[in-house]
Amino acid sequence: MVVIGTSAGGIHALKIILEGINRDFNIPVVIVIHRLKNVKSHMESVLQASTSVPIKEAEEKEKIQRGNIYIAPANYHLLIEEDGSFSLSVDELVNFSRPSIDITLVSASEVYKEKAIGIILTGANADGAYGLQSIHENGGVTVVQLPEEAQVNTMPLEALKAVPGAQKLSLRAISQFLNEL
Amino acid sequence: MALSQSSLEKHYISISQKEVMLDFLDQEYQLSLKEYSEASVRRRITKMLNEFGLDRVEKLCEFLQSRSDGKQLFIEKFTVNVTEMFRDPHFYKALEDKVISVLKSRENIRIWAAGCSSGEEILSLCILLYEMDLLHKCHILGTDLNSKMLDEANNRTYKTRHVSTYMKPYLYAGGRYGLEKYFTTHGENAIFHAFLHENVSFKEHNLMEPLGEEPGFDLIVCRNVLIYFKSTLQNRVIAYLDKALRAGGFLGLGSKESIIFYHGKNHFKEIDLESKIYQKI
Repeated sequence: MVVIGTSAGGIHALKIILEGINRDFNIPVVIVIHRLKNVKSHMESVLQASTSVPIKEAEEKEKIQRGNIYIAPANYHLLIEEDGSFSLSVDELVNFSRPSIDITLVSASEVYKEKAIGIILTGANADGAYGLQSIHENGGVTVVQLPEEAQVNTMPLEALKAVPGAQKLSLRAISQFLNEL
Repeated sequence: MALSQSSLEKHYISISQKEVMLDFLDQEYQLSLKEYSEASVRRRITKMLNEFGLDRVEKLCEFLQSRSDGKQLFIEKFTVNVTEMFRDPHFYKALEDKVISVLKSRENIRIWAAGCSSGEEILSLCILLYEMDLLHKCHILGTDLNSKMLDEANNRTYKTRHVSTYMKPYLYAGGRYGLEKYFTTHGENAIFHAFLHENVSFKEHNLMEPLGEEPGFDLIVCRNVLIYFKSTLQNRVIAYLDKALRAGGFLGLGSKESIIFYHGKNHFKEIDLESKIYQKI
């Protein structure tokens, strides 16, 4: 299970990663990207243009399947149940955000333990740092976009402060990393 | 690390500790949370541990036992009380166009807001009905598990800084005036006018049990409550809502909730896909 968290500059960064992943990539990926709540966005179709791996919004109590890339819906926190299904929550904003990257990362780390992989990309706040630490503490793998390459480096830098040993990779190297899982 | 505003904190409940807590709640308080979504249960209890400064669930159990209001306190802290006025403005627009416009010819309109929390949604409904000149013939029942939230709902008093964020959603929802028409400001509070609640009543109720009111509601609104339940419980709750509705009545769910897994889904037809509004056939 891979969780990718990003905010400002995230769409561009995600497109580069998705363009680089193999067609037959089949590890479930959950993308948590901060976005506006009352605006209809077409995030799935925008990102789908960059890969043939199916991209869909995570649905309430949907069983997580291999070969899918899921996106957290706007204005809900996305959690993972012990049976590997999604569940949504509208409780308080965390790090001024809903969806919060921390929440999904913590939830994935508790359920998938060492099989969880957390990736933090460009973004303008500290959301994701705590969650990445939780992935690390539960034995999972942690990756952060090279801060010097990130459009906004706050989020990668905060994540590295929380997990100094996280792998620092460029977007292209992240695709490579995913292909080799 | 900038974790100060995060609600994810140093003490947290593991998957195995959760079972201890659930057994305690079941035995001590006859409060069964086994069919609640586990991830949310752990999140809420983690929040509680940190708020009380306790590092393990056993201590939380002891702490609750030591208090005469333990059950009430747990429910207060456990329930998610985040709500807003005119959340998903398209829902209110669809309600006006496709539901209320159908109900308006009726002599009386009975509405149940299930899981109404601090009442922002009920107020939104009241404003909508008032602007359609129908409020006077509506009876609206608000229920919640958390009685403290019902008191808040009854007070119609919210922080002005929150209310100011509802102005735009109100307009997107089709609001005809300005939201400020409906409240007066006292310091940092906005107190909504009493006439909005003239036909509103509140009652403590656990959705895991039947309502115990005369069935035959014209509209039931239960939004962003089912997401906290596992599918089995979601289905039982929807069955209760189904029973409480009259034939031809409407059911409005949260925008990510649906009746697709409900065994009685054939009793309903979909009225608005995006807003998750259904009509009982």
